[in-house]
Amino acid sequence: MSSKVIREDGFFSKVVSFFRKHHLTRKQLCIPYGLFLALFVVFPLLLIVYYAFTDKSGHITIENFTSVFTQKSNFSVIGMSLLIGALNTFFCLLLAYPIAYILANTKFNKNKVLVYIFIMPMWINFVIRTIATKEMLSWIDITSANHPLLATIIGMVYNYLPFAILPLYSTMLKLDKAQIEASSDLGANPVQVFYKTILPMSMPGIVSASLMTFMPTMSSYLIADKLGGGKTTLIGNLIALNFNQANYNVGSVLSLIMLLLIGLSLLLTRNHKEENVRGGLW
Amino acid sequence: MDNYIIELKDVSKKFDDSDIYAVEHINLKIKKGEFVTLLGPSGCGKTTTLRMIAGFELPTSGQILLNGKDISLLPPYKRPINTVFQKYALFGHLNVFNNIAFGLKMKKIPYEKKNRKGETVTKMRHYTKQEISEMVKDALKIVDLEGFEKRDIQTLSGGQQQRIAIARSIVNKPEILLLDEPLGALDLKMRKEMQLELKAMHKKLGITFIYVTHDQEEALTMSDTVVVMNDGEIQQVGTPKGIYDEPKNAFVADFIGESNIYTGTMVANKTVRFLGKNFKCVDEGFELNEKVDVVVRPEDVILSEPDKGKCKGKIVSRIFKGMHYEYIIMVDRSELIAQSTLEFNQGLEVGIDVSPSNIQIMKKPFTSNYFDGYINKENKICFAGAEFDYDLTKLFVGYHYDNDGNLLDTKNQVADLEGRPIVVEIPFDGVSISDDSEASSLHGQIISMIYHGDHYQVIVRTPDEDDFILDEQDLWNENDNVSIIVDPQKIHVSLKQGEKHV
Repeated sequence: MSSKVIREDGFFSKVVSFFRKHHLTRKQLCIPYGLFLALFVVFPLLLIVYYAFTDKSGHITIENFTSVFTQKSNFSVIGMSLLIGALNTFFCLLLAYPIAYILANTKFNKNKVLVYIFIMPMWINFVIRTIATKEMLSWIDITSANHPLLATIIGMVYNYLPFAILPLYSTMLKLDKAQIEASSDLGANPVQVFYKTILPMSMPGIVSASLMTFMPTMSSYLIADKLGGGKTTLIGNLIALNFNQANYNVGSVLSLIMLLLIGLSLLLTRNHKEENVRGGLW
Repeated sequence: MDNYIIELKDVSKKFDDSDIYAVEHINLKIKKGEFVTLLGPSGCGKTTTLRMIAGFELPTSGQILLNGKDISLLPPYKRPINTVFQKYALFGHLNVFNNIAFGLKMKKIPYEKKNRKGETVTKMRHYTKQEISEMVKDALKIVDLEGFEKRDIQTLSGGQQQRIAIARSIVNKPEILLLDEPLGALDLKMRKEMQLELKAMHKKLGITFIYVTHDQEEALTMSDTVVVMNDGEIQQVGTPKGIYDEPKNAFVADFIGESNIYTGTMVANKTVRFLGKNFKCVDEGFELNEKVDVVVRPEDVILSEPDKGKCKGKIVSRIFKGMHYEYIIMVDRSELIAQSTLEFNQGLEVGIDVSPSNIQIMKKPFTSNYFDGYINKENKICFAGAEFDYDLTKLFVGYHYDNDGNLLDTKNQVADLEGRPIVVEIPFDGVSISDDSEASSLHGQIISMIYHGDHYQVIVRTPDEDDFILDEQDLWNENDNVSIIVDPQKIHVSLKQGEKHV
């Protein structure tokens, strides 16, 4: 067999020669990933679709849909999910934007330690974090009993803030200082510089921060469960409830609806992302 | 009133995170409508100066006057000055039209209006959409990019982006246009073209241009006035021709065009000795036997038959340059660059002469290194971050050392001289450099090398920002790290002024 000489030393060439020896082509190398996708993405999706369109005995029906859409409380849950998702995204952006701006400024944040401090909550177990938040809030008399919505939102913001900071921070690091100076040079006062130059330039970060907070908020159920005390119900809670009661069919319909909502939110933000390729995390 | 549009008065700038001044005591007056170029090597403070005029940096001390009014602390958006940035800094999220209209949309203009009583009052208003679109159109016409309004910035070439950046600035009709190496990113052909266009634009618009560049040819081609800067200080201000013909010091001569620079001696009035011969010259005002820098431009060297010139030299290299030949001629041990349309063969002996008016004599800035120092506890002298042994009895009359090496004063008491400020003088030939890092405890980096015909004048900067100047035969590289060796015999110490001998 004729073989091209690749660097004989090093790990890479060893791997290549291993594949040569066993006649592995690129196609064959894709098999594990294909299997993974089929098993853990396509199959569950098909399962959801199957359950959504069948009844408990396995007959094809659209009864599940009619039952979901005729029940008024379901709409209020979807509405509540959208509302909490939107509020959470709004507050996260509001807090994360100035934080990211300060973090990206070397004058205030010389050795990136501050970045880690803001990211650190992510390293702590989600359940512990949420229960701790609940306890902390009860000290200042915000409990699931008297302010369920407020408690849920505070919990959400606390949880998803790092996900909003990171993409914004990485966008801010890349802000073109010359453009900011140019803006001021052309007669923009500090406020105008902000909304005519800095804000549009950081748009990719804002978009990706919004996605990072909005999408998981809608589906999360632990925070609403613990902090809202069952009084704020999100789609995630409803799905969990249905599946816990072995009501797979209705639960699947709700999952499909959520998938649709997330797909829509992605679609809405897509246009912007393509223009500014140098985006945040996505 | 003077018709100076902008005036820098004793302006200095030190950045927070640095110990040295980026710009030091700059005084500069610029007339309305002038095309002024700040020229110098990178790090000479030219961009910092420009940024202070724009308002991006505030001077540490000094004043910047615009039409006689102090604008030193005014933020950029309040100054009638616009900048063309080095990397264009166009707004990526806006198209060409909105980039150019950016400044116009924010501007307010006065207009007169009759109020109810019939009096005319002046009010402020924004430009109308119609006005803006016409002005943008005009600006695009000036930069030769008509019809580009709707284009995205990303679809433009570097040269086109540069033109948009210029249009974006001039559309605001600033009193001064600042240009920070605007042609640096363009290729040579494009750059030459833009140079001429900028020059034409300047004539047409009548706006004062302040241009920053490190390209001496660009500066000479375009400017009415050239300001040569080095190390945060202005070296010379003058017309391109004036600066080329009459450089004020060796740095300017070396930076502007090619030059032969020699150390010469004024042997008589209007007579200077260099290359081993006495030459007549026209410069006056030097002391007898004063050491001076002599500059001769290569094109001013007159070549002839060996016995006809003032001195003789041997051609060691010949390069054909299209219009002329460039020769490198050895005159004894000194090198001379000459340009001539006459053809001589390599290896030939030629006669060399220079007409008196083409010999530029410049005062040597100094011929010794001076340092501020002090005496330490062990009676050693400290300067430039190092300590040296020195016989202090030379400095203090009547003092003497005892057998243990203690310094005793006139009353035989042990003298306490700790912390006494001194001035240390070391002539250039008392300093040498070596690439052996063990050779001395004093180290530095070469920051400048200027060829003086038979040797290089090297400036070595220590980590403490002390400069050692020395003459060196060998060629070193800028930024080389070297050991600095000081000949203890050549050190001369005196007490700082105001300190009396005891």
